[in-house]
Amino acid sequence: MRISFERTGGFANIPLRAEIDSAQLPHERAQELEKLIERARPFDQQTQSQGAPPVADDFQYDVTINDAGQTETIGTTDAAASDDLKLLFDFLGEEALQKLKQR
Amino acid sequence: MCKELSHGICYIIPPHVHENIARNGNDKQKERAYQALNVSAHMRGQREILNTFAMLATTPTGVKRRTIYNAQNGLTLPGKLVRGEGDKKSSDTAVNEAYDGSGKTYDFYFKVFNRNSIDDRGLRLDSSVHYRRNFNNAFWNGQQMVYGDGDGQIFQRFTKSLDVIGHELTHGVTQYEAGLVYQDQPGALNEHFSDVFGSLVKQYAKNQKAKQADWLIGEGIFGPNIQGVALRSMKNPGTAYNDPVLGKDPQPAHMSKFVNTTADFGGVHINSGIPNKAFYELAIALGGSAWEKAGLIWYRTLVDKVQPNTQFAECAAMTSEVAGTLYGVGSAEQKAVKAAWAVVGITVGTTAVAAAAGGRR
Repeated sequence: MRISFERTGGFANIPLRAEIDSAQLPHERAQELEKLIERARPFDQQTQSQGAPPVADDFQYDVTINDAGQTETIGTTDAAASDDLKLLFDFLGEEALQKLKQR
Repeated sequence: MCKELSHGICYIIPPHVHENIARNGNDKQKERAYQALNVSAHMRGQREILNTFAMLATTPTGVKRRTIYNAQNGLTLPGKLVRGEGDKKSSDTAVNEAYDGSGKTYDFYFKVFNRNSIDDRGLRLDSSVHYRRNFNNAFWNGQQMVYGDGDGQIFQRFTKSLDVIGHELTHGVTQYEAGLVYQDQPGALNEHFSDVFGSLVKQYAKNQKAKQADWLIGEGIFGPNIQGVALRSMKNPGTAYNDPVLGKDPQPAHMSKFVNTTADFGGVHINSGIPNKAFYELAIALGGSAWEKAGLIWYRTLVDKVQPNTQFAECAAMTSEVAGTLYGVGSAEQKAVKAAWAVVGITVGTTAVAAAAGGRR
């Protein structure tokens, strides 16, 4: 499974982008990722963008998940995301940050 | 009974009971009733309850009410109550920073502009610290401030810098006053006003003159190995950091460098560099303490003039108009306002005003 992760905005507005390949992750992390993704499905029912005005200094996410030829995309603000989706974003953000630090 | 607001049991009690307690109960009961009314009103979306709550919640002018919560690295807001107004210091640095920082912000708005808290009706200042794990952000969620601890390498805790706290609380002021839409130019102005008053809160607390101030936003929150002094510089937008890992501060200082982007709600944290620079130029030109004249012009503009969809050029014309009202048409102050906007490529004059008015959505 390949995941393209992008986070922009936030008070600091320092964009965070990374390509994450679950095959490259340690076994336990890969399993955790699978679990987080399953919990956050179906993605289109995990956001509530209607009605609520944007939250100042909020993060924006653009995530593409490519699994066995199937592509799914998630585009949302942090505030509009469900808790399960937030936990997935935090996991991916952590991985993206690790990659950034290794560069 | 209602120890944790997140417990479902709180919502079983009908709102009118909470209202009665809010009117007639003792201080502790009142506080809990306010909270329960607030939470249940949000849960049910009942506007009239919120209005009643707002009326009941108005506190005497000059009286701060701060409440600090610990989110305990979880997702639930506000979290566990850890320090209320007048409570003794906590052993937790972030708790004390949020408490002291919101107090300094309250004092600034009250003493300089005679404003009674975020809503000018004594709204309680709620802050949650330790939100999520390694969370690299701070935000105002429409009701309260929320601070992450940072990951420790790129960012330290976000309560560390007073201007960050002033910035977040000012988002609340803007929400209650101008209601600037958080997108494109109006969004960049929303960010700009937060940076202006965030910086002024710090300058006021340090009793600095405009020329002594660092004009930095988020100074000291970068991790030890990051090459940068802060997140933004109002004095020199685009120069706050230049790091091999994070890249370079993307802020422009002139309209000719305006950044068109869909990221960051249309570059709200990027293009705010343009009005930020104009404000800095004005503060330096007027001399003295920046909050006395430049800050007053900007405050009155935010409160009396700015609309949800105000654009840069319109905002510039508004500040000039306010300067004319405060100090006289053709006064040195009004001329300085026009000159400051000219530095960033925005002309204030009849043509600009007409063009701006024509562009109003």
